[in-house]
Amino acid sequence: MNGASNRFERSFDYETAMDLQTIEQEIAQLWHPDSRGDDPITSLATRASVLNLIVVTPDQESTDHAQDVAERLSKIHPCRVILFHQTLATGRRPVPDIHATCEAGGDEPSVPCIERIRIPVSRQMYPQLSALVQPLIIPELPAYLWWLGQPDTADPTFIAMARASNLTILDSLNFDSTNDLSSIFELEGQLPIRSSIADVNWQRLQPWRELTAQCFDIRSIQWSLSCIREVEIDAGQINGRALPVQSLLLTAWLAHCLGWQPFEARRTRDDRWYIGMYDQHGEHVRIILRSRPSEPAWAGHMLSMSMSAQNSQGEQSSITLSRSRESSLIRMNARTGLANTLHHAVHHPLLPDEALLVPILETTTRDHLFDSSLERAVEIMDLFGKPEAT
Amino acid sequence: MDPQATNSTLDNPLREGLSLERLPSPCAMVIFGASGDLTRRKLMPALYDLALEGLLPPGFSVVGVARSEKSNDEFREEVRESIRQNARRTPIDEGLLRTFEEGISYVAGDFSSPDAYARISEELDRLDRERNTSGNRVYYLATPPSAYAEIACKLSEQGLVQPIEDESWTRLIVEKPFGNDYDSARELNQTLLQYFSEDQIYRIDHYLGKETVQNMLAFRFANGIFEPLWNRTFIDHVQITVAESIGIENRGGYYDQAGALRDMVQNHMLQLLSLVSMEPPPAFDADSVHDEKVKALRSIRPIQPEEVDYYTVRGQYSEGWVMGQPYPGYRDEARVDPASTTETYVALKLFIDNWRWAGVPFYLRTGKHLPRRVSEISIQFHKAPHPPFAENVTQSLEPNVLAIRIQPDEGITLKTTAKVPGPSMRLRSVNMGFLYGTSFLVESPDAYERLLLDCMLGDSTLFPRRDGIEASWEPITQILRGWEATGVENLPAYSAGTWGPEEADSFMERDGRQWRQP
Repeated sequence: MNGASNRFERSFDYETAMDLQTIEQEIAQLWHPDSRGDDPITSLATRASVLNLIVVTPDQESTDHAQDVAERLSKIHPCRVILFHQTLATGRRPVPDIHATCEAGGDEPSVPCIERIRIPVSRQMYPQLSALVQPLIIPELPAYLWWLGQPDTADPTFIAMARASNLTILDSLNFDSTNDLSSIFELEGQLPIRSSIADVNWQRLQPWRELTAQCFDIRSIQWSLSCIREVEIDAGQINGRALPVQSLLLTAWLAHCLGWQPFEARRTRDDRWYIGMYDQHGEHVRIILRSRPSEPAWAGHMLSMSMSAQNSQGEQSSITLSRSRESSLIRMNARTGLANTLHHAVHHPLLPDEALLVPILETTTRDHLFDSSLERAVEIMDLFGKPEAT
Repeated sequence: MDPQATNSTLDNPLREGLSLERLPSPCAMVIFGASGDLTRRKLMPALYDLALEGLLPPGFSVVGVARSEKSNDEFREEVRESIRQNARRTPIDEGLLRTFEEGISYVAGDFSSPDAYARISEELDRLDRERNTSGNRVYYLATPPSAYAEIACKLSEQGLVQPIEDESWTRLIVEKPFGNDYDSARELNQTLLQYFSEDQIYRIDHYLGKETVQNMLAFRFANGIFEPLWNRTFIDHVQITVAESIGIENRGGYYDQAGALRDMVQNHMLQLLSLVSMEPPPAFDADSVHDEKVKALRSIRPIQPEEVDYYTVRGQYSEGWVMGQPYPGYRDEARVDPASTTETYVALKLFIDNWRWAGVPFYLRTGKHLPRRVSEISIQFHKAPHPPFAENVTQSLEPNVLAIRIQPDEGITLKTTAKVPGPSMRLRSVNMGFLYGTSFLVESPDAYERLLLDCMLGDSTLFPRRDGIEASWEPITQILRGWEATGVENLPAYSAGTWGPEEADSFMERDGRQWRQP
């Protein structure tokens, strides 16, 4: 425990086999005033939790990352974090680490708190994860499963954990292939109604979707929404030459909202994909997805999008959204005809995981827009495997 | 809400499911008094913070209007400085700031000069053409109230009040004070209504923009357990405290004319009173909420002139120490009459004459240079009717108190009684506390951010309506008349840094009650 920095911490290390009842007793003990010593600052500590965050990490690096993110998250949503890290050698006994942290920030006596139960698991123990987590979650509070790394959607342990959680949080930016989107879509269909899936990568698209929608709030541009003819999306290259999931999800979102029906899709170059769709009037919409070399931090992230529209009277409009790396902005330029140009910008730096997770952790219901867009993305993916339409 | 104010998914299917469902239409905001303190400290930083959150529409523009001659670039430089000094979120995104500045321009002119309005009109036309502001305008009067009527009149004469087409809108924001008594408030309303309709007028009381005040509606009407107890059957009395540790700062000229009753009670405190006492509205829309608030305000029992000494206590701070700093007495402050009898502290006992609250006193107190800054509403319940314990046990039994803390440390505490562990039956009061901040640690937006955005969206729920303003002035004007009639012979003094004059304590003790120590 350390009171000097307005912070108290306490950890218990066990040299015994895992005993869940003892873990619960030790958490209660951590909050008992006697265990917090005489430091007056500790008397401010309030045990407040709004959710359970269950984290499963595949290796040490992601464990450290997840732990940092969870600590920062707890400053926004006090929670109990149950972190399973698959780092224990087979045959060794798990040594859970229980930890509570409270910080009295500045003059404010409000005390965000986190309870963290960190449990190393071996390959042998892995199938028990679902049984281990149930007694540890705080009842009556939503449970979020944050699964780091590539999920195996056929894995019974993963499925059981997802079924036991209100929301399973994945990150498709890290998927090896866009085919994994299909697996996620299938899995979501198997989950009970109170469980669903969230994608951190979908959250990253939020400002792009907001800004795209804003373009068409402008009355002089609104007409072009129904006659978009071409969309081009650029993203930072990822996994060599894989199709960026972000670009695919944004395309699927446009298709869902605007009632476009994909009918053909093909890879036209190593770094370029074409998708053909029909709009609601049966007009052809050409969509080009490109992947271009970028700094590692931007791999898989959308860099720009342009849309062009033309109506039956020959009026034209174009809208470009592009990321400005230097200033953390997404800029919008819109032009209708020759003279009518609009510039706009929104602040959107590359967000850390905790900033992306915060809005996800504020929802407990299904994101139907994500579900519908995912469905449309899977339809497009299926077209890539089909012979070209004539 | 104005049906044209927000974009719907019918107009724009891309809006489906987006978090920013409440995004305003492109518009221009004309700020009269653009060189003033309010513009510099509050309005421009709030607009920048809205831009940073992505809550301003594309093409959003600001036209600053003030008397002094300056170029667009000079005004932009002033704006830039004010944002750097006062923006809530730092560091400043310089790229975003540059884009924000592109939409800022300045028109110099006297508020009484028709030429100035002609230039404003030209500038707005330019913005419509070049920045697609679509004829949507907000006029913000960040000026002394004495200029309101003239500006409204000139805007009307220049044809700037009526929307230029069916789908566009114009709105007017005015700052408090809305008059200095019932008659002047009514006159101001009538004047503004000659030029603008009621649904175009947004009267800002920044207190209502505070997240914590809005949360009171959620607390009362989203929880099933409190409302059944929220009446005279269970509640003994209600205390509303708005204590300020600061003095009058540089507002001596204004404050000496206003006093605590006008400065705090007529607006902020009666708004709190109406929120705590109103009936549940049938819907959370502007008219439904305003209707119920106005009903509560109109039910306040008037205090007759001969009763003011019984129902009110006034005080004025003398020199003292607040938060470890020495402060002069009120009469030694700059721009204050050395013989001033203006109250810097006021305590009131009000009754709301309706079925729910009949006989329940509402005690209100506010003051400058009190020991700490705190705003809270405490609901004191009746004592348990028959505690089945020995007399020596029940002697110390205290009533339950539900305290709603508005600032700082927003939260709710419920004082209950519990048994002290041990072999004998001993009882003690304990507080069950819920600090809002420990569960929701997301930084709240500034009140001006919320209110400016709501105005652009056409949502007037958090802006007092005309009848609400007038209803809140009625009981206050009665008290002012009473004070005027009785005069001030011995205005009670209190040392800066104390909880007000001793008379305020006697005022409560007379009723067998005491002020809560917040």
